[in-house]
Amino acid sequence: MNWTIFKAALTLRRISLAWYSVGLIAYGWMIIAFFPLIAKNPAYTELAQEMFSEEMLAAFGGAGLQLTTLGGFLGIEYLSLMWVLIVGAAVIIFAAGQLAGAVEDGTMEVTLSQPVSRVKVALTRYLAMMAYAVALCLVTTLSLYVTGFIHGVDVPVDSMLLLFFVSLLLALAMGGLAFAISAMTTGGGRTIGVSFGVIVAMYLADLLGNLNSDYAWLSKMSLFHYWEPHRVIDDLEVASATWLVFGIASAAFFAVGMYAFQKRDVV
Amino acid sequence: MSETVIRCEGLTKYYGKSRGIEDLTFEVRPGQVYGFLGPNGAGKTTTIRCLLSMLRPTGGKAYLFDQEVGVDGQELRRRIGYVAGDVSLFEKQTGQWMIDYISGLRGGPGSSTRELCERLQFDPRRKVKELSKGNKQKLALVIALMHDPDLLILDEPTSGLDPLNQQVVFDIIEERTTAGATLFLSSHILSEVERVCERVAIIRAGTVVAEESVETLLTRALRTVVVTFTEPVTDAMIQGIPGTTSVERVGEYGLTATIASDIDGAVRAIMQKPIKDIQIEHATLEAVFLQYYGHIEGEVGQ
Repeated sequence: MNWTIFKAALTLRRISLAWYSVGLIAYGWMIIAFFPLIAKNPAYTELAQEMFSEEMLAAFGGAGLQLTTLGGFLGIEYLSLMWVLIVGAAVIIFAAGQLAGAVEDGTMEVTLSQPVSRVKVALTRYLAMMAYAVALCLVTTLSLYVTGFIHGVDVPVDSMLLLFFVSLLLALAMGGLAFAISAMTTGGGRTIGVSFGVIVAMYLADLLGNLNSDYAWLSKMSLFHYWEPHRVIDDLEVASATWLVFGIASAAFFAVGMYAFQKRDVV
Repeated sequence: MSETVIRCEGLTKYYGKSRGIEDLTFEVRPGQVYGFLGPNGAGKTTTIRCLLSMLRPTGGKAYLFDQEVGVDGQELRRRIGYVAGDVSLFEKQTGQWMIDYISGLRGGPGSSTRELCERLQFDPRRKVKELSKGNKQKLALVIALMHDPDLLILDEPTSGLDPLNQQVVFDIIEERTTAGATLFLSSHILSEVERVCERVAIIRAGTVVAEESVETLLTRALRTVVVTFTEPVTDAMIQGIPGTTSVERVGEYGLTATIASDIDGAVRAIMQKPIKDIQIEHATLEAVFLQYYGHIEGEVGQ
């Protein structure tokens, strides 16, 4: 790793990190503040159950999801969709800028004309993306815990700790995808477009699989099939397939990105 | 000490089906001031990017300090200062941030950073995006030169600079080369190549079409002889001058001849008749360049 490149990569994105963090804190706080109303008020619960049909609950979080549990509520209202959008956007945009974006704006030429190897540049920029993801996942879990404390909602520490690790692996899988595409393409915009396209396709595949059992196989090909935040929070449970799929995806995307960047022309 | 600082052997780079450079062969020796001349799109920047391992050559080999490029490019680049033709910097950061960034990558601050900033009258406190093209060029020169590299690869280094700063840059370059650094200067500004380089390669359509010392190249080049005789010019006089590519009468007593070769024979033939005045214009590098490019299309600067 090269400390100068690592520091520079994060320094250049510190403002966007601050804004994403503000978004995560604000949204998480809003959901946590709203949770006691749902959990403790039967009228709200009934209304919410009417608004979210069984199919819709299944589509967005899997069967057996309960709005009245903290995990179920956070899963439906925040972690299954909005969190994925915010953190997905953050890590994809960050990763896109690290290789393809830097090649496009010419700063990669400045860096690679110095005594530093391509392996070190790519590895360091991946590690910077990792640090960025760690920061976002920390902000997510810490803000849920702190705002839970403020609003008298019992947010278990061990659930948040487990949520941090699982969400980090998902963030790394999404960021890793963008990193791999970034290593192969020219232009940050193109990387972002292709990465979002793949992420949206995976999200829709999961949705379709959840709605129609005929397409369950399609769902299993999606990263989001294995993203079950309600189980993590309520049951302190993570399926071994989740660790495996997220872990393999992160490692594979990283390896592809590293290899592709060694082979490409940097112009 | 290395026998050659830069050596290209049949270096070829294709972008898909489009040719960048083809079968490029030349070498630059230690301490040499080498000009790489060609119009935009001829392949100068492609060559430099292959040397710096930014482009993977399609064929052939490139060596820096007698080591093949790509094997240990990282350590080789420690000895190189590079100014890109199209300077790109971290726009939102200050010049000082850029200087610190490069210093960090090189393991420490450059020994001549302050001196370069002072001589180029560059204020590193300003953000890059607020700098004019000329000031961005100064920053690029500072970060390329501040670690006193053994090899300077400069792609259009005076682009955007006013004449005073161009002078300062050439003074600095001359000091560095006098101190033993090697200069590889890519340019389409013929006057600056002629001014500083001792040897040049002319690149056309991705291939080196001439590679010689500037002196030899100029010696072999076209010369213009303007003569005024004391008696009227006759056809026999015109036909008697050897090695001409064109001869024009100037009034009744004068002629202008362009001599491609055998200047000695041409002058002797002219001197057969009594002359009132004679002028022999030495060819400029620009004229040489146009000899190679004159009949082909292409954008030729200045």
